[in-house]
Amino acid sequence: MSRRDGRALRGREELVADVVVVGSGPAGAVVARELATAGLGVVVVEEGPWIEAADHPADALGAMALSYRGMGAQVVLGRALMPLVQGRRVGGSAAINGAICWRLPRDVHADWVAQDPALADALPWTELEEVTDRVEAELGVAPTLPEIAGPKNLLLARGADALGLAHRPIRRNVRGCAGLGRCLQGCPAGHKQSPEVAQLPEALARGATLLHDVEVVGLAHARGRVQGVAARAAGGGTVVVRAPRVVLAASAVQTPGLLLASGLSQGPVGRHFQCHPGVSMAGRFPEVVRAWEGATQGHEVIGLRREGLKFEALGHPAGVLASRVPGVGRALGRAVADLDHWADWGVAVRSRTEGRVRRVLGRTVVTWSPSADDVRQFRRGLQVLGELFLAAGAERVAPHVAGLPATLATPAEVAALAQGPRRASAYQGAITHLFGTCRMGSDPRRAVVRPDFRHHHVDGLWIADSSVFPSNTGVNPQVSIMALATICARRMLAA
Amino acid sequence: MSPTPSPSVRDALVEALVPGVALRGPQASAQAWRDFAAAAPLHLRVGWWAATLVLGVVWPLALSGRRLAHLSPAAREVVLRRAAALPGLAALVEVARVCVCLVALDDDALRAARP
Ligand SMILES: Cc1cc2nc3c(=O)[nH]c(=O)nc-3n(C[C@H](O)[C@H](O)[C@H](O)COP(=O)(O)OP(=O)(O)OC[C@H]3O[C@@H](n4cnc5c(N)ncnc54)[C@H](O)[C@@H]3O)c2cc1C
Repeated sequence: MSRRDGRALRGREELVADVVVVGSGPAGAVVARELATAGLGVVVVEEGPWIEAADHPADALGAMALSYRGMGAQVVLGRALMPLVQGRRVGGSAAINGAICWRLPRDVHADWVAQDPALADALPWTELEEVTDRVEAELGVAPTLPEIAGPKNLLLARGADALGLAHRPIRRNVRGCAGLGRCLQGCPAGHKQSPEVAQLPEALARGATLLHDVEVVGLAHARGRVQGVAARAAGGGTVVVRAPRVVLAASAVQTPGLLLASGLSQGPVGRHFQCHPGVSMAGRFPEVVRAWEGATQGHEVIGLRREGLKFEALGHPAGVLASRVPGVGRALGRAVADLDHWADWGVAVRSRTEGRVRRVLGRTVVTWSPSADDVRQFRRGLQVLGELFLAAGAERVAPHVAGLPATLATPAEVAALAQGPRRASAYQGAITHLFGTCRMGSDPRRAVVRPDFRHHHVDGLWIADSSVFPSNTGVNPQVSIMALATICARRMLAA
Repeated sequence: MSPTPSPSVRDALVEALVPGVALRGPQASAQAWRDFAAAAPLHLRVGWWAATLVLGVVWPLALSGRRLAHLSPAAREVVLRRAAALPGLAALVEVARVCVCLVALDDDALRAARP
């Protein structure tokens, strides 16, 4: 039906809908599209702005200021202050993600069923496979083509070959990708099939309303039933959307935050926060790499996935890559002037460590500290990254570990990374995949939503994002999120 | 409200951290720092302010009796290298590196094809 800009809303606005969806990332966009297609009156409320593809800035500052929550600099509180990176815009984090697509691994589903056998029937593997096929077909998921991969991706393949580690071109949700290298700023050509390209236009065409620049501040509920949401528009106005059904899809951080802010603290809401912390390393090659060109993230090394380590080529904006090269003063100046020879590769760790989302002084905060196991994985991951770089022909690498030399150049120096510091704060990590804070399960003491995504205690309230995942996935989650959100919409329609 | 470093201290730190690199022009730079101040969360703005204060004023005064802006390029280099080697100051150097690379560098020039 329409798209409304909260920057223009100054007074009090009241809307009525069949369903209000909070958040327009992959979870919210999929649910909104499915429900609108089924003929329901859907209002999607999104805190961040609508951004046209052509308006996506190329530079790091412009992109981060426009599309990232807290400019990409919000942090988890704990022994290491790691950035917790999220999108805040129409399309959610998927609009600024690397486009990497993984199906939910079977072993992860088996773990979930082992934790709660009711999930075997409520979330059957066959249905997950079926909806995942649909998601992948819709998004055009396919391996990155060598002609658009660019050197940073092909060099990672070369390094993995030399080490005998399994690797492959990354499967991505893009159509007609020209290797512009700008996924993390938002694709300027609209090639990435993120929600504002793939599902939201269809949802709007089928009658949904999108309110952007409007932040939901609380859920209205009484006598165990949800009644809608209260929201604040960027223009200063207030918005109330009355609806008998509310779907929370605001991410595994903001969804529990909203529940807590609304006085809905039943069950383990906010607990069991899990993530994939990652660390990265920059390496200097004798040849020109121009790491900001070619598919943003086009190659991955999967040989150590079962050990909880997955390696990826990274394609940052140039300003971010500059912050990853080593040194200060003349050394940094020289490295930055030489930036087209540097690449940055990362390792994502499947951490078992749990943290918590809380409300403190009216703000949503995440506490999470890497465990000793996680730090061991950082060390091992960095060591393998160093080996990959040297095997691919890099002359030196910058590990960014406090207390270690700024650059390492020999296999022996790189091997020593495995014995790096034990302090978590010595490592420069970041977190982008978030799970588990309203997890699904049949026991209301151990889960926030039922196996059919309905809140255990509040009628009409559903949760569709990765906060319902019983654990992290060990792989990039957007496809699993869209698959589960599709099933959530089905359960709503069947209810 | 949050603390804002003075432009002269800030610019001296930028030049000392990445000498000889293409920076945004004066107007674009002033705008970029305003954008940064508007978008960055409080802890990052405070971190950047602390980095400019310590690395641009307090630490060079303690080492050489002068502010960073009043030191020769070679002396600035020594000041920053010694800070980066001290566990207590290395974190501030890192904050400064990240902020300067994000805000002050001329992204277009960085990406421009080189001969
Ligand atoms: C830089 C980066 C790179 C990534 N790369 C990949 C990748 O390559 N592959 C992959 O699979 N995954 C990747 N991810 C992760 C993936 O994008 C996320 O897991 C996924 O987008 C989460 O989906 P979601 O719908 O749960 O939440 P989000 O995508 O975060 O969407 C939530 C939306 O809700 C909005 N919102 C929050 N609170 C409110 C409120 N109170 N009122 C209104 N709206 C609100 C937010 O602004 C946001 O737009 C990446 C993430 C980041 C940050």
